Amino acid sequence: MTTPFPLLRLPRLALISVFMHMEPNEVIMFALLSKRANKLSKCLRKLSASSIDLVVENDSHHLTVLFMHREELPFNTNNFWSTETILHKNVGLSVSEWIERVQDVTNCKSLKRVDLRGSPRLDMCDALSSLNNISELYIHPGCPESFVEKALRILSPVTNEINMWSIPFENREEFRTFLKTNLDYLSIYYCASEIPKFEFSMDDVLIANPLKLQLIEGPSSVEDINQFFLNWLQNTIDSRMEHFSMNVRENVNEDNLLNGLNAVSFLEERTFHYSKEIDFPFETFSSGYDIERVDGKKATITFVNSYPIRRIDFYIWS
Amino acid sequence: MTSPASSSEVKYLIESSEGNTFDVSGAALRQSNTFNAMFLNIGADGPIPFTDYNEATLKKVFEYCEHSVNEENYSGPKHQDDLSKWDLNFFNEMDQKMFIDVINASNFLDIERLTSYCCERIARMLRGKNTQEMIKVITLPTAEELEAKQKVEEKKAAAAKKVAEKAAETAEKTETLEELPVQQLVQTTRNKLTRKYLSFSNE
Repeated sequence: MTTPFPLLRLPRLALISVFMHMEPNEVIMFALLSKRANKLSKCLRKLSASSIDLVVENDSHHLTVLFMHREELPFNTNNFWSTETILHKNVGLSVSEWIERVQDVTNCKSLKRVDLRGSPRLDMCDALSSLNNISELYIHPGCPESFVEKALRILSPVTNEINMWSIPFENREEFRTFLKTNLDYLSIYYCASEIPKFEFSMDDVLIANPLKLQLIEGPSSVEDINQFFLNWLQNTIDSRMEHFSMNVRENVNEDNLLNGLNAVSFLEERTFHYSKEIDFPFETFSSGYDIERVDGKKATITFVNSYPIRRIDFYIWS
Repeated sequence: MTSPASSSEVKYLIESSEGNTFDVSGAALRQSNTFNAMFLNIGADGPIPFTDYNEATLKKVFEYCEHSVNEENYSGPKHQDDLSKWDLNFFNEMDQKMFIDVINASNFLDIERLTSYCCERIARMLRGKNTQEMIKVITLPTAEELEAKQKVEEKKAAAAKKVAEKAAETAEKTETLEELPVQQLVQTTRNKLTRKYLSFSNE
């Protein structure tokens, strides 16, 4: 059969059977052909994606759609997963239309994760503007700073978690403004090499609003962190931040870290719960140091000092 | 010769759109759920009129049914890779028009195995293709064609509704199915299927 097949001349029950024989990837591709094809796909085969991730790379981008399948076995139910990769290539749709169409046909209204991995095409910022709910944003090394800066401006308000390997801010004020974003989680990698572009003070962390702030390879010394704790004790203005974690390059000297804090050590299993139900619901630790502010606010300091992990954690109890 | 089917020896006469008749074994016919719903228990008095389909199409469909008489009961779709050489030849020797006619007839006669294989064959045309490649393999109707098709379907639905109402009135008057003449029985079943199809389409 070399001439194009008139698919829609088939009776509806046969069309349903055709669509039931198609792989999810093919149903999605069919839906991308036209608005009518999309409408038809939705009538003939109901797809329910568990999540959709967007990956932006140098001049190309794709969506990864995750499906969960249930297999009823005689004595139990087996769940297994499959992923479909949908390229934005020769589909005749803008990036935002393409994302919207895939979300529509897979009945998945939001993106779970967005990965920015390189220099995108011009219309990507428009596409990002159309996104209204993202769980996780990953900004990988190598993204042009101008794009990262725009992407953060657009996506920070609609994102819960940000992991970034690039700090696109030119000055401290811009960085402080970004730290005030109401995220659930912000993790910045290679801080030490990224932050020297501008002056940075641990005081900036005091005003940070993510529930959990993690600076990997932080730019500050143990003495600086001690000063941060002293400032926290003096401070009476609270940000949203409940957990601050920083990896440092030097050995953590206990005396330097706790100097002047009147810290009380403890040895017991404790669980720290975040005030909001988020992807990482709790942290546990079995030893550390408690400090208390004049207004009664309590916090716990823990640290790990075994190479290669040299990390200091600061938990603020509500 | 037509009579209630109890053995594979029984032959039924099938009437095509051209008015021609030909024999089909009871065993082959029983693969059609539509036939089973209409005639299995009561038999048919005279040729069974499948007059929406031409002789060539019906013969092709029942050729398949005759061949698969001895296969085990249909238990779900089978991949094309698992099809026998005979099955593959059966599909390969059809041109596109015949293929579509066979799907339509098989769909009406509700022959699950044949419909499923045909549909899987179409799905395979799209396997692994991107949008550009799909456009080369299938044709999608234009807005005008769709509008025209919708009008035809609306007319058909209205006519079917009218006939169904009339058939329902007749059915109320008739005490048993056995008393219905064959032509009317076909029409009643067709109406039932139409109603089923319409309710399905509206979901």
